[in-house]
Amino acid sequence: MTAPPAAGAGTSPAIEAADLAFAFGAREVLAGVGLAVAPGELVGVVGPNGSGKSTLVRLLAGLAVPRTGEVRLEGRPLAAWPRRERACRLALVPQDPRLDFAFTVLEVALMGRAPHLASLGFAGARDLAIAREALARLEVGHLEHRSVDALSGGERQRVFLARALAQEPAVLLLDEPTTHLDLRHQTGLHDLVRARCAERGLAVVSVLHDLNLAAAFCDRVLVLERGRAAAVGTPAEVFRPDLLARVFDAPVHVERHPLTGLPVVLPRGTPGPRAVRASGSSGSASGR
Amino acid sequence: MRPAHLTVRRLALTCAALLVLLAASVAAATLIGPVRASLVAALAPGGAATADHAILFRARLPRVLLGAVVGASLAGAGAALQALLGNALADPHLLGVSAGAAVAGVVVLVAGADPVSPLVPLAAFLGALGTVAVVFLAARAGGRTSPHAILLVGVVCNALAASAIMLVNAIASYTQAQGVLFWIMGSLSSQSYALVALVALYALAGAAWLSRHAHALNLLAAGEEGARTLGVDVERTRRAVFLGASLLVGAAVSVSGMINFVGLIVPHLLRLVLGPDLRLLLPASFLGGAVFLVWADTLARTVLGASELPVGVVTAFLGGPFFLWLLRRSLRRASGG
Repeated sequence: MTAPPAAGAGTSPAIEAADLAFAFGAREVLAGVGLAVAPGELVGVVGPNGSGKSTLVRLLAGLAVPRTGEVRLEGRPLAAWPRRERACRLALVPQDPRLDFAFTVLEVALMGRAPHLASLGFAGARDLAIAREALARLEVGHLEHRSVDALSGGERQRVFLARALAQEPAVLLLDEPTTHLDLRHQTGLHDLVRARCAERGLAVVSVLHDLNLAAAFCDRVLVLERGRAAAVGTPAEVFRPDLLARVFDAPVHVERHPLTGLPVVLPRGTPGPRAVRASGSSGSASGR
Repeated sequence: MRPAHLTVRRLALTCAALLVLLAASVAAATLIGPVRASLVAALAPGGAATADHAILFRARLPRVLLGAVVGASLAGAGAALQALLGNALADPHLLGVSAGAAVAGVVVLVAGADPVSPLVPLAAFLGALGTVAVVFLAARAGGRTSPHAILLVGVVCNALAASAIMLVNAIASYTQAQGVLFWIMGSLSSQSYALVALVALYALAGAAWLSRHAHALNLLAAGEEGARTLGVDVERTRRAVFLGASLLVGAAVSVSGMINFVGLIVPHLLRLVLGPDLRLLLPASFLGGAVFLVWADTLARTVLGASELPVGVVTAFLGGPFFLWLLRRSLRRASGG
């Protein structure tokens, strides 16, 4: 597919990509992928390992140059944006954010203000307020004096998300933002991101491993299969057992969530004998 | 516990405190020496003719000032290189950058340049610049530099430079070779204010150049791509550090030969106390490096009584054990333990 799928609600897309292709040497990683995300929309990207999810995010962030196709941020090609202005509009939370020295949590959040500030980057009262609010929203505000080195994986991940929010972008790219998070913070993070979409028209592209998280929070989902778009649409349209079974090469079962009506994807593995006995004796598949 | 972020006020106060410490150190170091010299006698009417005046203002003060400039240069270059390579083990000497500067300086000396001419720092600057580029290209893979790669590249560069100096010395005449040896050994015993001024000019240019890019260097801690997504022009920042650090190392090496470890110890200790923000760490390293080398040289001048020790011996005895401790810590961290 070459044409970008239509973004919702007729607004012009915050970020759009058409006909993206990328290869490492001779190995093709992406081919003919298009995507358009409207302001206020949250689009998930799912797919098995090696299907090109992270590469797509890198292309959207301007960290790699596509072989063919083009990424446009607010209608303007990525390459045509001056660096600093682009960083004011587009933020990325990488999968495993790196930090070489022991900066404090607040210093990291303030780094998100850097593109908005003069070159020596001293934060004003407003920048401090924005950084602290982002940290507070992610429940890491009480850690502001701590070195990022001394945090748990989940706390660290939330600090880097706070940095991206402090950047106050129009487009937020997340590469597996929940890998280190527990259940409460997984939903908390997505609730927060959703709120930003609604309040400020933030457009979000989020690479997700967890299909149910994608179903619960995304307006639309792009399913990648070996570097190509296998499907795009609302979770209800896209999460069909036949499609998912083919793309992920694993049998799945899709149910409706009893409370939200959204699709729930269950793996259909072979249960261990003890699990079968336990569920047989209790008469219910619920619980832990 | 250090404050959670840097304010202009904290920057100003810290730098002012370090400036006072530096001024006090320069004054004290000038008064300390194996021979007793009276400041009162030197400053009294007609004191300019006294031996006290000659000792204090013609022998000691230029040397102390030179020590301050060299220490500032080496420590500032160390802080910038550590930030650029994302590695607290980077140091102009360990990376072979000082040695590269020395090779170029030696070549110019043997070709007949006056040791006090402006040609020597210029050559040393170019030698440093070339070596920084080589180290950077060789020690990096996938946007990162491992401590192992840094050390290996440094060992190779130092060995190559040592051989190059021996080669040049073998070609040179006996008197030239003697002069080169004296220059390489590294001492601050030069006694010319003009030389101090020349080197200070180089050092100030390098310091100013680096300081402009201090915040971009902070963001580089997020890695090349992380810095890019925060709007940093990574290539420009990198070039600025190459240039600034090379100016500083070239200046220091051209007047003092090889003085080890200052660029490693000073920024590292200051980072532990002040935090990694280069807007503070960079100026603090300049001032702290100056204080450190002033006192190291005072020790070198006095510890053996009448005869004096090369200041490089003092910094090496202090820095060697410190480096081993740092290396162990860094390797433990790299292995995830």
